[in-house]
Amino acid sequence: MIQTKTRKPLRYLVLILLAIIILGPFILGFWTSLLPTADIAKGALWSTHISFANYAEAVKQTAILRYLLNSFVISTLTMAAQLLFCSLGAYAFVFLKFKGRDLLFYLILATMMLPFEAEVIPNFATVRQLNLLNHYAVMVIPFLTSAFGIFMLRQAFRQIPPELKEAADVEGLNHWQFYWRVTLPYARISLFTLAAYSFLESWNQYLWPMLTTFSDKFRPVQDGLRQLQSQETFNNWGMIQASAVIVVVPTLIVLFVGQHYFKNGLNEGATK
Amino acid sequence: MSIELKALGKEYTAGNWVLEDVSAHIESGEFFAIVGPSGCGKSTLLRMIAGLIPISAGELQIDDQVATNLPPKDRKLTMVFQSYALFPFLSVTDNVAFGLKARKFPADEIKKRVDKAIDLVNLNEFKDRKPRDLSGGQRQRVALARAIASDVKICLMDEPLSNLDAQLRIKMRTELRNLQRELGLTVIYVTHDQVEAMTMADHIMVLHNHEIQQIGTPLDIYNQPANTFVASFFGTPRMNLLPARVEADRELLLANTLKLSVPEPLPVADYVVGIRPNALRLLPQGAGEPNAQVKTVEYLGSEIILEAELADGTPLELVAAAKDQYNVGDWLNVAIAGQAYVFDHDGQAQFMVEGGTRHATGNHASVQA
Repeated sequence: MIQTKTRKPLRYLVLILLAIIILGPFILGFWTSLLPTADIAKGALWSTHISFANYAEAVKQTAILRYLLNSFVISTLTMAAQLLFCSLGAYAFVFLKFKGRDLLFYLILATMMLPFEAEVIPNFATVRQLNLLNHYAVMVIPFLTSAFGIFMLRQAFRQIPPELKEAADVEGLNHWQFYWRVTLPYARISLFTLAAYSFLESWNQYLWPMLTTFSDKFRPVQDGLRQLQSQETFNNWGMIQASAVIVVVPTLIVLFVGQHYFKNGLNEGATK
Repeated sequence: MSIELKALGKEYTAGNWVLEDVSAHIESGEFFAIVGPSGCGKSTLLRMIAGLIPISAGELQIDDQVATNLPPKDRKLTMVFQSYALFPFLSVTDNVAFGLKARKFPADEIKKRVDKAIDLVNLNEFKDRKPRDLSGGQRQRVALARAIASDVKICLMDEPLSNLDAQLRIKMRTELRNLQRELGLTVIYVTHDQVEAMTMADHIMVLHNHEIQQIGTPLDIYNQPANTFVASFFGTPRMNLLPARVEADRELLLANTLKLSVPEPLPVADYVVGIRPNALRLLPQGAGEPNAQVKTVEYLGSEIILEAELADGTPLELVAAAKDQYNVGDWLNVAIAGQAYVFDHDGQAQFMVEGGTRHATGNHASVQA
């Protein structure tokens, strides 16, 4: 009893501290986005000139909405493609039996050890050859599937009791039907998790779009933000900060929704 | 819908037979149990019949048609699994309808059948629940309803009751049996529980060591076990198996203690004699020289199970009347008073001696001597 009594406040103290460390920069960023640039430049953070003027300006003067749309299209396509192809790949690694299956899987796992930066140059050469530069395709096609996604879904599919497959076989379901009607609903929590993960991954891409996009028409948000800084000669920090907040909001929504599903999933549980 | 197994065999790696030469004929409408200890290949055999595991040797006929290489869905059978294999994300109704939907039955037909099946297993109140909101027994019923809903007449069951608690299991045994009779299903039922097999089955196949040990009605198997394995597997408490050697012309000496008269002279060899606990009689104390010492006493209410040791250390199980008092360490005087099964040293049944009253006096006398 005494232990828990002293431990609880201690635990909360640590949690609060961590929360401040993590949330601090974000709160600071949000706060500055409400201040006029003049105040930010002076370092007058306790200014009272709070307004949403920066936001209005960002929307009016910059291509931030276009960046948002671009990122939304790219991320959604990437997410959908990864869900489809990773689940199909994982299905094959769990429910199909073929020669060299495990070897192939370990080969795919091994590609996870290769950092993306190492693939940039060959990938760039390839997409240039394919004439895909400065287009949505260049930001989607290299990310149609992911080794991590296959790995994660394979683990999830392996949790499916073999009796379910046997029952489905007795009922005469073919692989496509079993994939669609049993595997996907059974592993939907993992699918949601992968969806959130791949969406955010794509949303936060910076290096690859920077190399492959040259116009606002296709530029995604993260590179758009960078662009704002160099375009605005007088460095309108308040407006840049407002744009950054706009860019972060979808991320927070995805995380929030994803967390909601994740919690549900934990309660759902499998039936033995 | 009869089923014929013709010398079925299964090898996973060349020359390594998990099952060998399994032949049986299962009549239409029969309740056929496959019994054996875990790892004997009974589930493998069931999955071979279902088509989930390819058959390595022999031929399978379903309804007089060769089905050895047919895919599972064309074998016209359903299966109930030990873990029930319910789809956790579907309601009871959808679980039951699953197979019918997969087979593209018309919607009204599906509804009719599902309603009827759910009604038969008394799950009307739980139609819209998910499996996780059901108790073990209710899940079991959903699995049954799913098997019943399709119109096929063969149902394979893989230890369907073993995840239930003891009382529910006994209740479900009767329900299952009644349902099977009512619907005229041909059931192949795999279990490791000999009591389940004895109480439910029309015929029992005993599997052990990759082979059939015996096929017969429960009574056959209990009264005429083909070998020591079958003899000790069926019946609780277990049959005592005592080493025996030929002592005199028409007499066997069991565990160097008990004497058993046999009707005809036996060639000199080692034998094993099986005697069920209820075929052993406890003589009143002081009636002769005691020959067994009590090691443990189990009170079952209606009777007492005694584990004793014969003079030479051979363990022996006995049944005693509940009114008597026994303590660990007591010396008993045990005599043969019922059937004794004589097996050769390989464990194959040779003949049965109706010990009973005819030999009781003789044994009694020899024990006393």
